[in-house]
Amino acid sequence: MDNRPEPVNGIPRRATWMWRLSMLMSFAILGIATTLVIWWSAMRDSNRMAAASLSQVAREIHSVLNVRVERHVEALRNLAQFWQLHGLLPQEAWDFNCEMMIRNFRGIEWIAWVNGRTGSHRFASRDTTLHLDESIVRMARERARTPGMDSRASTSGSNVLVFTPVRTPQDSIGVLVAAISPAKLVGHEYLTSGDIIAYSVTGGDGREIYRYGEAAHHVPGGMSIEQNLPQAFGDMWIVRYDPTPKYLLGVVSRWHNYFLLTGVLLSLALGAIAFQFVTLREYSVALAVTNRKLDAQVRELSERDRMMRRMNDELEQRVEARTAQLGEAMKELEAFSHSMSHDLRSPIGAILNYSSILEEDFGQKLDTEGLRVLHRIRDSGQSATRLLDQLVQFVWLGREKAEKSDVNMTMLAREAFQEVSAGLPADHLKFDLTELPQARGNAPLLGRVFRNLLSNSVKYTRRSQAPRIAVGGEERSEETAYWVEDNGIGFDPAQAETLFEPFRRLHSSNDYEGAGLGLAIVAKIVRRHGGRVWAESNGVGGARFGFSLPRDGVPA
Amino acid sequence: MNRTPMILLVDDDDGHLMIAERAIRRSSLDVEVHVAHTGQEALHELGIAEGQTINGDPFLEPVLVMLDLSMPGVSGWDVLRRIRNHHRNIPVVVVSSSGRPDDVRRSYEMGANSYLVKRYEADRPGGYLADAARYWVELNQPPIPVDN
Repeated sequence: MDNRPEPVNGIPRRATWMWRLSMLMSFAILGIATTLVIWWSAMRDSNRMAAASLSQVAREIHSVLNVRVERHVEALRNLAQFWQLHGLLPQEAWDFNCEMMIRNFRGIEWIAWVNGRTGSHRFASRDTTLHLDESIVRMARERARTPGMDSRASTSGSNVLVFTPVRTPQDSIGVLVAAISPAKLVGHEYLTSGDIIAYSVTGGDGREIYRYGEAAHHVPGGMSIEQNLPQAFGDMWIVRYDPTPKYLLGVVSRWHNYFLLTGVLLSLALGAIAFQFVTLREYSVALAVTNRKLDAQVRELSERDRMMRRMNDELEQRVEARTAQLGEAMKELEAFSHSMSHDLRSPIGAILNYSSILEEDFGQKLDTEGLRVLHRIRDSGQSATRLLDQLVQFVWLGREKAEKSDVNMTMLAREAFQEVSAGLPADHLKFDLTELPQARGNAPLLGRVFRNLLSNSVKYTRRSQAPRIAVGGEERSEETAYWVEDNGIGFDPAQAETLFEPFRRLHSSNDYEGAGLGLAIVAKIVRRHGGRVWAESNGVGGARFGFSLPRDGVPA
Repeated sequence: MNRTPMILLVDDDDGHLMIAERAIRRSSLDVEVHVAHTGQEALHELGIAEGQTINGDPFLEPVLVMLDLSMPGVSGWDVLRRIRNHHRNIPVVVVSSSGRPDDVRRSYEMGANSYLVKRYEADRPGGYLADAARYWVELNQPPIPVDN
C-alpha cells in the first residue's frame, strides 16, 4: 500500500466552462426579455395616452370643421332660396348680399350667378382683380340644364366649386356658383400650433383637397384617425388626422430609451454576476472537495501519528524491558565473575597450596618423576589462575569507569616494556621506541594495551635469533595510530581478523603460554576509546599489531 | 608478665591457612599463630562473640588479624564490623581471593588496614603473607629501649 498522501486537485475550470457560459446567456436573455416586455408595455401605455389626447384634439378640430362647412352650405342654400323667392335681384342687392357673404364667410372666395338659358352672369369676388372664367360659365349652364341637380362641388385650382341650382317649381332659372377655399374654410386659426397634429382632407373622388401640417411617416397603430365630413357641399370629405413627428418624439420620451439601455446593460451585468457567482460556487465546491480530502489526509496523518506514538511507546517499553533484562544479565555476569574470581580461584589456590606443602614436607620421599608430575600439577594450577585473572579482567573491563586524561604514550610504552621484559637478558632483545603522539584516554587501560601487545611480542620473539621489537605511532587526519612491530614468528594473514576474538589462539599453548585473551582485552579497551585495532603479518616472520584512537578523544 | 604476641588467621580454606601458618612460622617472626576456620570461631577467639563478655585482658588480644572475606555463616565483613564496633585498634589485613575494586573499597571503608589479594608464588608459597605480618607486627611493637 502506498502510504503517501494523495495530491489534492479541484474540478478543472474547463470542465464547467460551458455550464457557466450558459448561465451567463440565460441570465442575460431573461433580463433583456423582461426589459423589453416592460419597455413595450410602457410604450403601449404612452402611445395609448398619446392616441387618446390626439383623438381629443382631432374630435375638436373635426367638430369645428363640421360646423363651418355646415354654416357655409347653409349660407349658400339660404342665398339660393332668397334668390328663388324674390326672383332676379337687382344688381345692387346682389352686390350687397355677396359682399355680406364674402365678409362673413371667409371660406368663400367668390360667388357667381349664371343664367342657365341666356348664359348671362354676375360675379362678386374677394379679390377684385378676378374675373369669371368662361369655362365655369359653361360648366354652370351645363349643370343648370340637368334636371334634379342639387348643389354639387367640384374642384378648381385650390378651390372647391359649389354649384347650387336656383329654380322655380316649373323651371330652372340658373346656377349659383361659389368658390370655396378649403384652406380658408378649415383655417389654422383654431390651432395654436401645428406641433401636435397634421390633417388632410380628401374629396369623395379620392383627390386630396387640403393638407395641414406634416404627418409622421411611421405612425403607431391607433394614432391615426379618419373621419367623414358628410355635408361637404354635396360631397363626402374624409379627414385624416395624424400625429406630427415632433409630437411622436415627445410621446416616445428619451426615458424609454434610457430604460431600455439600462435594462440591457443590467441584464448583461446580471449574467456576468451569475457567471462569476457560478464560478465562485465552482471554486467553493472545489475548495470544499479539497478541504474534505485534506481533512481526510489530516485525519489519516494524525491516525498515523497516533500509531507511530503507540509504536514508539511500545518500543520504549520494550527498550525498558530489554534494559532491565540487560541490567539483570549484567548483575548475573557480576555474580558469575565474582564466583569465578573467588569460588573457582579458591579450589585452584588450594591445589597449589597443597602441592607446595606436599613438595616441602614429602619432597624427599618422591623420586624425580614424582616431583615432575607435582610440578606439572602446580603449573596447570598456575595457568588456570592466570586464565581466571584475565577472564575477570576482560569481563570487568566494560564495567569500570574510565577517567580520561592526556596520556604520554611514549612513557606508557616504555613502562610497559620494562614490566614485560623484566627478568629477560637486557642486551638480547632490541627495543626501538620512537616519540609517540600524545593521546587522550584512560592511562591504566592504555598501559594495559601496551603491556598485552608487548608481552605478546616478547613471547613470540623468544625463539628469534635477534629479537627486535619496535613501537611507533603517527597522527593521521582523523585518528592517531600506534603500532607494535616484532620479528617473531608472525601469523597466517588469513587469520588477521579473528586474532582479536577471545580465546582465539593461533599457536599451541604448549609452545606459547597464555590464556588467549590478551588481544581481546586490547581490542575491548581500544573500542571503548572509540578506536580500532588491526594486525598485519606476512605469515613467514614478523607481525605488526596496531591500534588507533580518535583525534578528538571521543568517549566510548 | 610478658607474652609472645599472637596473630589470628581467619579463613575457611584449610589449604590457605596451612600455607599462611607455615610461611609465618618459618619466618623469623617471634609470634604465636592462632587459626580460626569460621567467622564465629574468630569472634570467640577475639572475645567479642554474641553474649561474650569482654575479659579486658589486653595480652590476649592478637597483634594482627588476617581475615578472609568470603566465609559461610559469619563472613569476614561481619567480623571486621564487629571488631571496629568494639573500638579495637587491632590491625586487620584482609586477605581475599577477590580483586574486585568494590570489595577493596568497602574493606577500607569498614576499617581494614590493608587488603591483599591471594596469590600463589611457586618459589615462596605464602611469602607475601609472612611479609605483611612482619610489617604490621613490627609496626605495632613498642620501641626498643636504647641500651646505654
